[in-house]
Amino acid sequence: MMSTQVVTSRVSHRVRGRIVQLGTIAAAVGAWLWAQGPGDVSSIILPRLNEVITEFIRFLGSSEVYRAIAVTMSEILVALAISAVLGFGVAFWAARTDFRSNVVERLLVWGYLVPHILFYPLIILWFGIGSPSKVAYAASAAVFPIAFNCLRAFRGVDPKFLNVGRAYGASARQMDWQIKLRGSIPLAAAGIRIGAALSMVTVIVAEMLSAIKGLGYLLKYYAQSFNTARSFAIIAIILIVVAIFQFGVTKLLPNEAKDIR
Amino acid sequence: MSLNDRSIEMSLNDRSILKANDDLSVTYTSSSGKPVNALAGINLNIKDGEFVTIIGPSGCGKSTLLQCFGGLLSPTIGEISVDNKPLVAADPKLAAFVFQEYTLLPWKNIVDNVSIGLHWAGESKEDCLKKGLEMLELVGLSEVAKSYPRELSGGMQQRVAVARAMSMDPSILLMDEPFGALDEQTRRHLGWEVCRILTARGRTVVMVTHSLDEAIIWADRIIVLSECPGRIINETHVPTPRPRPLAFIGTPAFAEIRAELFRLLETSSENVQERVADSVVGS
Repeated sequence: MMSTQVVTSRVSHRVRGRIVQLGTIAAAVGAWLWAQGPGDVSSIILPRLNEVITEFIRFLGSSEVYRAIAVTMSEILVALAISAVLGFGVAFWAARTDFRSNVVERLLVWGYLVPHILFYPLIILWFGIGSPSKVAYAASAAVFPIAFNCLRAFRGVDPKFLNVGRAYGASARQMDWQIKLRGSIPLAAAGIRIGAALSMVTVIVAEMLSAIKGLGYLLKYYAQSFNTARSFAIIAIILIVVAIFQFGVTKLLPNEAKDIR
Repeated sequence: MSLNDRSIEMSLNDRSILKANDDLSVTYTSSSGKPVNALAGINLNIKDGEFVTIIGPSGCGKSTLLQCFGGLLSPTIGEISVDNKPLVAADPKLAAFVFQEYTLLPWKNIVDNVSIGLHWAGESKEDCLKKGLEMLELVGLSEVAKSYPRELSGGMQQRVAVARAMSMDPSILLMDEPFGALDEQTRRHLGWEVCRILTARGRTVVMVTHSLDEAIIWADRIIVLSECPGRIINETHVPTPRPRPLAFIGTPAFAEIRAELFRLLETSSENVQERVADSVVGS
């Protein structure tokens, strides 16, 4: 009886939540439609909704957008791969002694806090306005949280597992690979998740600042041409790409909430 | 051979399997930089097949002594030998641990956890699996071989930990309050079950415990340590053959041993309290 009540209460709670969420979206669409009608807001500031939908559909059939997606995604993935390998390697090296860990951990925090955008003009100078500068910029931003989290993960392996390794005769290499590394996966994965989000944001921002291709470049191009309908359509496409990328990252990396199985 | 048809008399002999000699002592430096004597003047011989329990007040160095026996800690003075080999580092073939905490590796399944020591020793996959399954069957958990630790209760996890230690076929089994985290009833039944298996296999066991009942019902000999630095202040032999039924708890023999151990621990505890009171007054 009690459990039936609990289940009913949970369902009604979920339904109410959905109603509030859908209501909020409906209110936003309503405000948009009002702004285009009685509100008399200029279509340069806020385009007609049907125009945005038309542009979005047009983009879906256009090779221009798919080329831009390919460019942006390849930059993000290369930057993430570089920062993950580098961050992981630095953390693994630093975690081997307390001295290295203490020194490197502080440097990583500083590196994490520095506004990397300050260095972007120099990165452009060194790597040009093509993809290499986007990859370098994104990798330099993502490497610090990845290395920091990996270092914390390697240092934070539960001592009881290290004791098991010692008591049951694990060699130094077995301790490193089969206990420290394996036990650190959840926290290290959290670092890679942050790194993935950062590389995505930094690549798109970098493309908006200075580029000749990519989704960020397309958005900047249409916004500067006062084509707000196309800008909104590109934003929608970027959001879809971001959602798919984040879903993939979440699925591929181990889930922290679950056990480190 | 069935598990019940060997009595302790058959497995016990006069051969010493573990020796702690030369007034074994352990001194470490505290975080404030002061030297702390954890153990002092320990001399102990443990016979092949013997089940020894160690009791004493909290912080008296029971676990420290066990860590020395397992090669996880080097004594400052004295030496330890297992099976006539000097113990200089942890060697699970000589002394295998069952820890108080749940220490199964959460990313490995149960059978892999059981055979982890063999795997690290370079045994083949097939041998590890075979031995792992054999040990799981021994502790009655073969049906969970492919499960993961988080799917098992605390009691089951500790039985797996016993199987892990047994898989190394060690000269001596070291158990540091292995069932301390369990409720009283589970602890008593599981303890009895494990004791029965270890007795049937003729294992030499040294177990640290806080429970007087546990210390008496399982052991051939009970070592009582004094307050810190831990010294051996008493050794009590339990003459009743192992494995003993749980009903042994209600016998006069049990009550007599328990009363004596209780008195020893109380005296030890009072000494500590007096010393603390003196130091407070002195300061």
